[in-house]
Amino acid sequence: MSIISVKNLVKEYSVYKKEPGFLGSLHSLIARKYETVRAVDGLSFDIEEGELIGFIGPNGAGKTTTLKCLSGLLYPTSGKVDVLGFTPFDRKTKFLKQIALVMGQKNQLWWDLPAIETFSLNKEIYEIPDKQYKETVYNLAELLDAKEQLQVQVRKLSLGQRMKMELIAALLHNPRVLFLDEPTIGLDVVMQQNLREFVKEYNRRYKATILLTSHYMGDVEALCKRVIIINHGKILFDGLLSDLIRKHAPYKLISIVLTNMINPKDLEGLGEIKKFTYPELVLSVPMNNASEITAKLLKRLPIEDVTIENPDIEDIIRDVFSKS
Amino acid sequence: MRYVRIFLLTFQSVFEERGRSLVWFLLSCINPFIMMLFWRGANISSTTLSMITSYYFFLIIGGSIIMSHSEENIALIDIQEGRLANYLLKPFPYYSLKWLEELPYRALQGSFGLIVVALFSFLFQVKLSVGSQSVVNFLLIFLMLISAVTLAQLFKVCLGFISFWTTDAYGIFQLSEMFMFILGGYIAPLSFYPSVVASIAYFLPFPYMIYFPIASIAGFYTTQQLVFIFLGQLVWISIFVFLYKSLWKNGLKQFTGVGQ
Amino acid sequence: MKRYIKIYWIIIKLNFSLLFAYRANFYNSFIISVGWGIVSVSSIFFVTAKVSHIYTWSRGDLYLLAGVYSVIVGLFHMFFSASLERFGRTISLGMLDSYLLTPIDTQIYLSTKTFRPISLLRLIIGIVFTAVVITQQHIEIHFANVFLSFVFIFFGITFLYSMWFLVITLMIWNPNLTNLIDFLYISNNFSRYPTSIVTYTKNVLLYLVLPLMLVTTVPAEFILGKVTILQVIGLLFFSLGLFMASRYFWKFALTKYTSASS
Repeated sequence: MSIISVKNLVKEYSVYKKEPGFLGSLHSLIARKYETVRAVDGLSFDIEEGELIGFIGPNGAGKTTTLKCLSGLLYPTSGKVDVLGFTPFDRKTKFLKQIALVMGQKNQLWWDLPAIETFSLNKEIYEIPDKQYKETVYNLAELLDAKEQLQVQVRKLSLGQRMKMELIAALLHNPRVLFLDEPTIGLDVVMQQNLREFVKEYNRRYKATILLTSHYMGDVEALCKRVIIINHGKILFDGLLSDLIRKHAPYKLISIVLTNMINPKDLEGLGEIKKFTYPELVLSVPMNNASEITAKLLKRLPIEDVTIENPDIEDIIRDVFSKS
Repeated sequence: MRYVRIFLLTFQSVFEERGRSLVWFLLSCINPFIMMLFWRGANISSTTLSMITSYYFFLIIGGSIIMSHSEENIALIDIQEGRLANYLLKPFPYYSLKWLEELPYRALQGSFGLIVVALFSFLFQVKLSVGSQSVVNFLLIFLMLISAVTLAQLFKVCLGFISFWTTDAYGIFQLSEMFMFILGGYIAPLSFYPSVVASIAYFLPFPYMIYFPIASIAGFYTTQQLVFIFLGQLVWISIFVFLYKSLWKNGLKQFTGVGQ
Repeated sequence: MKRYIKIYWIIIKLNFSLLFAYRANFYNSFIISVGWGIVSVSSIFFVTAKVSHIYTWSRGDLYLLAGVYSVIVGLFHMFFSASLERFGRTISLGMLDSYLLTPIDTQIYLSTKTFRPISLLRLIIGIVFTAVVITQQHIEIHFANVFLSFVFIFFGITFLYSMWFLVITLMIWNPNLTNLIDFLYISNNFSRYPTSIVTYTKNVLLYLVLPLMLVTTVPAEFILGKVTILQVIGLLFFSLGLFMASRYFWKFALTKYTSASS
């Protein structure tokens, strides 16, 4: 039994088209033109309990719209959505107590009060028992390394610190399903890293199902086994990240640092030269033969250092989009 | 030409916000409208009633043309968010730019006013009276309207400049609204107030923006009185020009000093 | 129910700490609350300085009406207007999402999240003023009268609340119309005057604003002992009807909600 199940989800918006220029403004005063935009166009997928899934796509692909349909904010134009056995849009109390949606910039904290005050309000709203409340705040604050900031006015916190507080507020009730929309947007590299660790740990510790959208492939690579790639509201790929790589980029990159100059002709038949500026050399080789070829290279060439890498995930995604 | 350009550009954004503009206008109608109904029940003569009714109708049109609302934009966007820096870099005096930005709004609101008043006088069979007035009077009233617009704009800009010194001047803006409401003639013609309150009001700038011009149109005053009122307006304009200049000079020091 | 009371108690506590979080904030709210309170009672002196009657209402009756109005808006501003104002801003900023995902009744939550303690001052101005008018006009008053007039005031506030909520819900369609809030603040002024100013005109269009005038007229006329049963029924009918309407309209609006433009 999957915890989230989506069938043929469609969501349409009507968008107001403004005509350019002064006359256009005058005209729009009388009659406005509206266009229907299909943000989500027939999505279907299932998600099992405890999965951590990456939702990938360019701006306007329909990621956020999908998350909003799943959390019950938007009323689907058509299609069937089932989360934890509920129809999200009904927004039943029982349903809402089991999910959380965290959006990068939005905030539910009281700006002029310390975050802990907002938490105390959420405690009552979500009817969290005292003991569980204290433990959760303590654990989450420790996990995020944010104990000192609990008592500080939210206004005075940095963006990263505020994001941590948002997360605690959203997770106080230990949601079984967590939707994360661009959680690392605007954060510095260190904070991004911390947040990834946190999400991973949260998923492990509470067996929570997490669906995350992100621009940073780093997030997805670090966290998600399974990815769903969408564009123009349609699914382009749904499966394991490793399958995606195997399917769209069945090669590995071997980076070599040479000790002496070599003749590029020596490399014939071993792989494609991606880059060669002495002493650096990058070869692209078929995935299955990677180790074999590396062995050969080590024998043939004067090598100081060698590393084998998977191809850049961003390139793969770009490849998927260009083929769609 | 560039004046026309700036005007047209703002006009465009005004039209973009047609819904908002309409609401702003309706807003300004409500109080005169209620008060008009109120006076119909008062035990006063029918000529007085017709004067009062005309007064409120002219208040709807005149108020929407005259009264600028630029103080909040100046305070929040220009000074606090630092947009003023952009204005300072333009080869154009700040006051003129603000003036041009405000003009299309006034024009639109004024035209709303004309439409609504026409509609109402048709629906409720109200005849607007301007009293018996000479050509000289109308000339004077025209001048008074121009000074009223100038004075109101100057007043609101000066008010907005308070934000150079305090981060949150909202309370002060509201205070000025209260004075405007009572002493500017928004509730009722000042001549119906207790005489003490009215005579205090005459020594303040508020009635010179709204009450006097509107009451003049409605025919409350003789030519001689009109001249006096006009002179009063000029006095207040010069006071506010002086105030504007000194606030601007000192305020800018604050602005650059703080670095936004 | 117990849960909602608990939540509201915390909300009140948080709002009290907010009031004193910033000095400027405190001064501004003080000026606005006390200032408009004074303006609203004093303006009735100014406009009645040279007339003695407005239809059947004597000067003294009008003072009483002004006092009752101050009590009503004092209560309304204390319990609802700040939340509803914020509700409007929340829609226009596209921040409704987090409210919708909260597992309590969203209408209740949105309508009560901000409590405005400072309006207590306006309420006090209203009560004191009304009490002074009642003694000066030698109006006889019993405990039962006071109680019943507060019942009417309750329905009046329900009416104002529902009207505000309905109008602000419209912003779901056009989030730019933030000045609808200002419109509402000014519309409340209709309740400052007696229903007679509309009923005597016999104009059908004007009857649209009649319910708003009932809000204050009914409790005031009740104290004066001249309320009619029809007016009371009218007030109950409009306030309950509008309240139901606000709930249905809100549920309907949410199916049309498009969330922030992201």
